[in-house]
Amino acid sequence: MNRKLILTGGLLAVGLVVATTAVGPGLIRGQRFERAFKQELARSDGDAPDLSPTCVHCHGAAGAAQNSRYAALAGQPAAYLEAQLQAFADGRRSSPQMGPLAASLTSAQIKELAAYYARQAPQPSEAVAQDAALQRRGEAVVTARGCAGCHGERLVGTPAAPRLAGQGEAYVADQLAAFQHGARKDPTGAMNSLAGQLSAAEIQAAAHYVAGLSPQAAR
Amino acid sequence: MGFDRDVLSSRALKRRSMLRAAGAVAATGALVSGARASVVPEGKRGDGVRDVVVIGAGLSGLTAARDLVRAGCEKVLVLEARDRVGGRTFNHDLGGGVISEGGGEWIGPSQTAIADLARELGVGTFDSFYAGKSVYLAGETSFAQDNGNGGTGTPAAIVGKLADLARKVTSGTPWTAADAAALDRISFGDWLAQQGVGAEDLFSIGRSTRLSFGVPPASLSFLYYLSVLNSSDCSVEKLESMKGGAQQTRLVGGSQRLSQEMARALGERVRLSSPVRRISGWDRDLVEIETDRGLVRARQVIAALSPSLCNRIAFDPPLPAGRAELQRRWPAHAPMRKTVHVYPRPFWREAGLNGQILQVDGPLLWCCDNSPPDASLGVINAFVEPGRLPADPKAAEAVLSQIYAQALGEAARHPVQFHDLDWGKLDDWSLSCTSPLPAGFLTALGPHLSAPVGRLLWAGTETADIWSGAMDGAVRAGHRAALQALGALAKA
Repeated sequence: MNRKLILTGGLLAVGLVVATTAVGPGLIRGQRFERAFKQELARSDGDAPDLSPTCVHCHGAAGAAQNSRYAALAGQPAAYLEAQLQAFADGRRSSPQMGPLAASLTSAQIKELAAYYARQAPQPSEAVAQDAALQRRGEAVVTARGCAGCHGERLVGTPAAPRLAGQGEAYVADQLAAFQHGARKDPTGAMNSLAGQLSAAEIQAAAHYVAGLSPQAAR
Repeated sequence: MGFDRDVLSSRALKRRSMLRAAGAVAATGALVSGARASVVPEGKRGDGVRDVVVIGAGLSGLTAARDLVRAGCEKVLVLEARDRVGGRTFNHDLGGGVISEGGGEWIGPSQTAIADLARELGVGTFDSFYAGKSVYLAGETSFAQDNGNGGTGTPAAIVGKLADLARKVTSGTPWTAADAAALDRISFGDWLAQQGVGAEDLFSIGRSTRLSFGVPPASLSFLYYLSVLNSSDCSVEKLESMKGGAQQTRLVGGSQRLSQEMARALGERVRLSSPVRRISGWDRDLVEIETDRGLVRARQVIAALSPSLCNRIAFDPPLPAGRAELQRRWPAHAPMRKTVHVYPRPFWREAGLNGQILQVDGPLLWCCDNSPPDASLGVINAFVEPGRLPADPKAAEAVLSQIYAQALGEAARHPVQFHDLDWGKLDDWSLSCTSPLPAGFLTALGPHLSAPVGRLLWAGTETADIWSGAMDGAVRAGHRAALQALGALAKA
């Protein structure tokens, strides 16, 4: 954690050092490694905004979080992402982590980040444990509450509302609870009143169901 | 604020460790349990006014309280939100008296405040293990190399330029540097781009700042980076290395032991599970501090908390604009996630490896050998990207075991314990591990960081003159705040 408390240690002295100091099989390994390393560097996303590597820490590479507790950003509607960053920045959406970070961005940077994540292909978040009964209960909740009305068919998102399909299970559950308790406020109030009617079990089931859906829009 | 929800999402920990974590504190014992019973608003009893209330039982707050008591200031109370002491230090209990640190753990040359404290508390030190080759992974390929001291890949020309610039940026007050405005206008990333640093070096430097600050260079004020370097003898190597650097030394029994020992001695002056919600009358002679377990009154208050945590407390009257803005904008987006794999022995040492692995593209930022001094167990501590590693402990363990097997050999597939601590999701009482200050922050708001406000004094590592951000800085800030409190009481 804390800096020095943390460490850092051996950072790469690859490159020429590798090629010149290694011998025999080591040399070949070194050369293979160096090639792969350079390929990885070259693969990095040319059009990524300068600040996006900061987001990677929690939201995964190109916004494809592999941890169900953090929001998956890839393929979310740009309007939604921009609105959330603005809300974090001016305190309408509360988060000790995102608040100061968003407040340090210019409007242009917010737009650039929102557009970048919106054009990334959505990926499923962390794998959901198989639980057919829970999934059925969740589907029933989602159907009964008409979630697709705003979140789109198969819950893949619309300009007005985020993609839920393939979103992290724990993140969705956390957000529903936050809407329920008022810690997060939907500007229209719709999510607060809807979540207010859900039981804890229904929240768990709905989160499980949507997390297991394919995040890609039907072709 | 359910701080115990999902505490350490680790298999071995789930059942046992909550008890053990509590037990570690319970060793401090009866002391705290007596205090727990007291929920009477003691200010009302008339005799309950404290000379100093310290908020936060981490290294900084406990150091301050310890100094005050040693100076004869007996009426001191430490209020801690969690049911344990230690703040951003935490010992995972591996059994048999062995621990592995889940939070801050290293100290190094020039970190004399914490070294002195350890000596006074009878806590020994030992060298971090780094002998042998580190392994680098890129895709399916791997390469092992002995880097001597865990040194960086920072190009020599840049190391020299950084040292020259850092000498002119005083660590405690970087905003007073002659060219502070220009240095704070750009990010470290901007400066590296101006130097024409190549892609491979940029990768190394970026990995280094991710580990030390939680963010890439583009998110760090250049002035702030230089101020941190200034603490470290203006040397990137000393900042980043194990040998001769800030990661050289560990504490026997783990860093949390320092706080546990101080809390033990303070006894009932430490009150756990008492988050502070509101502070009233900081502009008057008696300050009222509202906690979940009653009201406390004090003549002086030391907030031994990060500014982000201060921002979650309500102040009446409101804090002056500058201080309020500092708290509101203080960055907290660098919570680290640290995991522990435990093996029967450090088998990698026999193969000439030091247990350090750096993965170029994957969830593992860097890991190292964190075995106990007698190597009675083999321990690998890892810094991972939270967003790239599953939250589920079994899945997280398996992903990392696979990576370790690729680097260290098949024996790595079968750890006997796994522990996982994601400080970003642990609870509400740390929020972040480090403070990646962005461009423009320090010159605008820096002067408000440690300036007293009425009866409020500020501690916590963030406010330290030297080694801000490190455990050593926490201790230094605690010493300074105790002196400030004694001075203020003497004047009153």
